[in-house]
Amino acid sequence: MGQERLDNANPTLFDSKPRHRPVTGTERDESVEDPIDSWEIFDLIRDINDPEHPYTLEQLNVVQEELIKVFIDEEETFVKVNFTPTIPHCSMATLIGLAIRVKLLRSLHPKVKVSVSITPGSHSTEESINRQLADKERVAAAMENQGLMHAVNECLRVPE
Amino acid sequence: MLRQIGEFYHQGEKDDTSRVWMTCWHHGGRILASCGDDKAVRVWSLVGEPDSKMRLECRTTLDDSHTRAVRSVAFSNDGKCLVSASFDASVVVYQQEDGEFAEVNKLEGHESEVKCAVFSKSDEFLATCSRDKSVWFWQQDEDEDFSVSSILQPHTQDVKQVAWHPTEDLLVSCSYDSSIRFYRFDGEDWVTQQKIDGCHVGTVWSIAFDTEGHRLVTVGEDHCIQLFVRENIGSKSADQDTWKSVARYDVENTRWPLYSVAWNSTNDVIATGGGDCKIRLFKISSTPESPVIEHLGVVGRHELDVNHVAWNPNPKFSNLLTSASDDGTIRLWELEI
Repeated sequence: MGQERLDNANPTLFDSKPRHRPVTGTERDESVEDPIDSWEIFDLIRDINDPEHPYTLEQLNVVQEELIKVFIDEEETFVKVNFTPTIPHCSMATLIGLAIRVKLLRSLHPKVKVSVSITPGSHSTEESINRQLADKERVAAAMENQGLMHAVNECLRVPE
Repeated sequence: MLRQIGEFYHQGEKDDTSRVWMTCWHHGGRILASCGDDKAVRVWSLVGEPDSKMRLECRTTLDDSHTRAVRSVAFSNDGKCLVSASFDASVVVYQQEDGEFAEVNKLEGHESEVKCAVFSKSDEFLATCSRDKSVWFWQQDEDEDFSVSSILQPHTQDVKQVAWHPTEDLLVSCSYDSSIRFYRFDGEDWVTQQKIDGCHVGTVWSIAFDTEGHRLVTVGEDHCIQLFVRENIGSKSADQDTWKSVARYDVENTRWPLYSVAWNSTNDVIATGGGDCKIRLFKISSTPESPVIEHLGVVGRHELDVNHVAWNPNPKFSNLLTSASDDGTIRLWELEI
C-alpha cells in the first residue's frame, strides 16, 4: 500500500507501558488461584502490528489497559476489549478488531467469553463494525477466508 | 425435566474437536444428520427403544462435497434426500442409495456463504439463503434436477435462516437486518407476502413454526423470544394470511444471543439454545386469545455456545432433543414432564 493512500499518514505515537507487571501480594503463592485480569489481556494484544504503520497497537494507543474490562462470576469469565482507531474514518478498523479477536481466540481458554468493540464515539461507523465483530457466524466465515487471514496473520506476526 | 442420555462428537474427540453448527432429524425419527466447521456432514442412526438406553451411531461421513464449513443440513420430506449448505457458497443434494447417502447435485449461484437450505413440504421446492442478502427458490423436476425458480433480495443484510410452513407453500426468512419476511408462490414466481421489521434488536437468528402452522416463534441477538400468530385462521389460507406479534419473553441475566429455537410437535414446549451455553424450555399456553410464553427453566448445558436445538419429529420419539455446540458435541436429551 503506497504512503499516499494511508488513512492517517502521521499518527501520534505514545509511550509504552513497562513489560513487567508490578507483583502483588498473593501472586507468588502457587496455592492461590490467579484469575485472568486486564493486564494479562493487554499483554496479549499490545504487540499486535497496525495494518498500516510500522508500529504496534500499543504505540498508537489503539489498545490501552484501561479500556479492557474483565468480569468474573460463577457463570462465566467475560473479557470486554474496547479499541480506539487512530482516526474516526479508519478503513482498517474492522481488520484491527478481527486481529484482536483472533489473537484472543487463539490465546485464551475457549470457555472465556470475549467481546471486542470500538471505544464509543471514536469511529464514524462503530455500530456497524461492532455488530460484525459480535456475529460469531461472520467471524467464523472470516477465519476461513484466506486473504483476510493473511492480513490478520501479518498483524499478529512477531518481529524476528 | 430434561435428562441427558448421550454425548457424541461430530468430529474427533475431546481435545481435538471442532464446532458443530447444526443437527437435523429425518422425518422418520431414526436418522440424524450433523454438520460443522470440519466441512463434513455426518449421518447417524438412533439406536435403542424409548424405554431402554438410546444412543446415536455414526453411519456415514460425507466429507468431500464442501471446501468450507457446512452451516446447515436438512432432509427432504420423503426422506430420500439430504441437503447441505456451506460457507463455500454451494448447496449439495445427497440421495439415499442402498441405505447410504451420496452426492447427486451441487447447486451453485449464491455469491457468498449459504446459511440454510430446506425442502418445501411437497419437496418440489428447495429454498436457500445467504450472506449475499438473497433468498433463492429452486424447483425440482421429475428427473430430480433443480432449476432456479425465483431469486429475491428482500433483506438489506445476511439472511440467517429460512423455514417452510408445515403444510403450505409459505416460506419465512430471518436476517441480520432485524426483520422477518414471508413469501408465497403466485403460480409463476415467488413473491414477498409480508414484511415485519424490527422483530428483534439486532440479528434474528432463528425461526420455527408450530405443527399446524398457525403460530411461529423467533429468537435473536437481544435474547428475546417473540411469538407470532396468523390473523385470519378461519378465512384465509396460510400463504395469503398476515401474521402479528402477540407475545414476547426476555431472557434476563444474559448478554449473549439466542441462536436457535425448536417447537416440539406434540406438546407446545419450545427449546432454545444460545451463546450462554444453556438450553432453556418454554411452554406456549394453549389459549389462542391471550397467548403467554412461560419460562420452564434452564434445563441443560454445554461447555460452550449452543448453536442449534432440534426435537425429534416422530411422535414416538418426540420427547428426544438434540443440541449442537461449539464444544464439538451433539448431546441427546430426553424430556420428562
